[in-house]
Amino acid sequence: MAQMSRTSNPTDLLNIDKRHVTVRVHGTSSDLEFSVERIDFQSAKLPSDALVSCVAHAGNAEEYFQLGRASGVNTSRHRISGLDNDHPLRFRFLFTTPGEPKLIGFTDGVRAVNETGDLGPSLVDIEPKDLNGPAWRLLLPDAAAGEGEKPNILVERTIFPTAYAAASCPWFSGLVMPEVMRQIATAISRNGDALDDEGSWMHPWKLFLDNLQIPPPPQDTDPESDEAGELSAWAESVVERFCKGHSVRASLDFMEASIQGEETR
Amino acid sequence: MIPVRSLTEEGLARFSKWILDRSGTPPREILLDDAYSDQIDQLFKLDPSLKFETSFALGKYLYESVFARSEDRFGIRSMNGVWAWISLVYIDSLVSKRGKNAGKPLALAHYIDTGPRLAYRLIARTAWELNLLHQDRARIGLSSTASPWGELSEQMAGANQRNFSNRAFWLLANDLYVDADGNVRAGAASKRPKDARTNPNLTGGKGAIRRLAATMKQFERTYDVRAMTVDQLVAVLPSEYQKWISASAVPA
Repeated sequence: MAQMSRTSNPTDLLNIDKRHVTVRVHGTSSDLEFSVERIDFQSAKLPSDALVSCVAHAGNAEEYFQLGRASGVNTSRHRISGLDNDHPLRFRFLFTTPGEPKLIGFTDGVRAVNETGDLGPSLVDIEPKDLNGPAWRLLLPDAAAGEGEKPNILVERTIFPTAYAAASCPWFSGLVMPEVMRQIATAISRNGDALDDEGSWMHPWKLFLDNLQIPPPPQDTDPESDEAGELSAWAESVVERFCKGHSVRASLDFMEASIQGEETR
Repeated sequence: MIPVRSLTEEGLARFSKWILDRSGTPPREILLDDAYSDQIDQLFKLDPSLKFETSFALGKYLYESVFARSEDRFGIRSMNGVWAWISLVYIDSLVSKRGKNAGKPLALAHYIDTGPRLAYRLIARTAWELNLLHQDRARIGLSSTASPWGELSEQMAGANQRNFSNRAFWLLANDLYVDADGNVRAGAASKRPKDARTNPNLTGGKGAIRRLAATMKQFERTYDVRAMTVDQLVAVLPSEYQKWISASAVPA
């Protein structure tokens, strides 16, 4: 028998890239549901009739779902409110041939795309922590940090035990995310060239800003002085445009109604 | 019947002290004392006079009668003060049962939540939770009359916590290790001897429950084990399980 190595794969089992699977979560922690938005089985090199199963797990709890064939995967919502809200929610997808329990492919550690709210997990992380005082804190990568680095919003674990709990909280969305956006935009304004640098953590924000129809920050202003306030004005414009988005507006409406005593939800 | 309550910080401290001191009588006087226990929002009731021969029986009572088969697994699970209170109510069924320590409490984590790492050792809660998840199949891990938390409990509920919720694992374990009378077969909880690391031909512990937990973990890499029937799982088990497979094939 050939020598086994870390890269040996004698069973030809496909370890499928997580990017080929999109999962969303819905509702609050007490009525949590998930749905599979898409499985790009062709890019994953899976046969169209491959059967799909999913294990949703958090802590030592799990729920198992059979989702039909890869070419017509069940996209309806499935309840997972029985899972442990104090642990991160992850999904493991299993692919088999009809009538055969042996796997032909799998993908582990899939996170729901909307766990981090509108900014999406590709732009920021949200991480529950023991913060010993503040409800949240933003950690920004260094200006020179590479493309794998992302801003990380630390949230107090006793308030938000999971990333999804924070992202789905309207108060968090309305009060915290605009300030997160401001700090990120300020960092970008001071390193405008990094938006075009594919090796920079700031590069993914170029597409985000393009989608908000915001031009790049002023290039000729000295970040150390910014006497005319051009860079700070640009950062504010990013925040204002971001807050016009549906999620923040809805959160602000909810907050206003709550403060005025109306029942909105 | 009395309403289920929750131990306060003061109540937890009193109960903990008795457990750690391992002397005197359990502090039952704090169960209904407002200085040591609180009422809770939900109305659950239990009969404090009941005694249970096994932890499975306690768990079955809690699941079917006290919590009325509620599926709110994590809401009920998270009520740490309640679980400590229940542990004190039924402490006579949860202390050491034999030998020189008969009547003495086990370690603290078996009665009071001490954190995520040892959460599974809280006997009353785990017994209830396993009944919720696996119903009668939970018996195999909790049926010892010699101890409220024996080696089987540790292996099935703790050795690999992903198996805790894995229905396929509990189905297979029942098929292999429980006889037609509902008793756990002798040797099911045996361990591999340390010398087996250098001498794999040693037979002690081969195919026992601890090994099954590890085997299932390996199988998960290449099989959709949760979709498999017991017969399919048995068909792929390696030869070390043959003794148990043969025993389970013997008609009653």
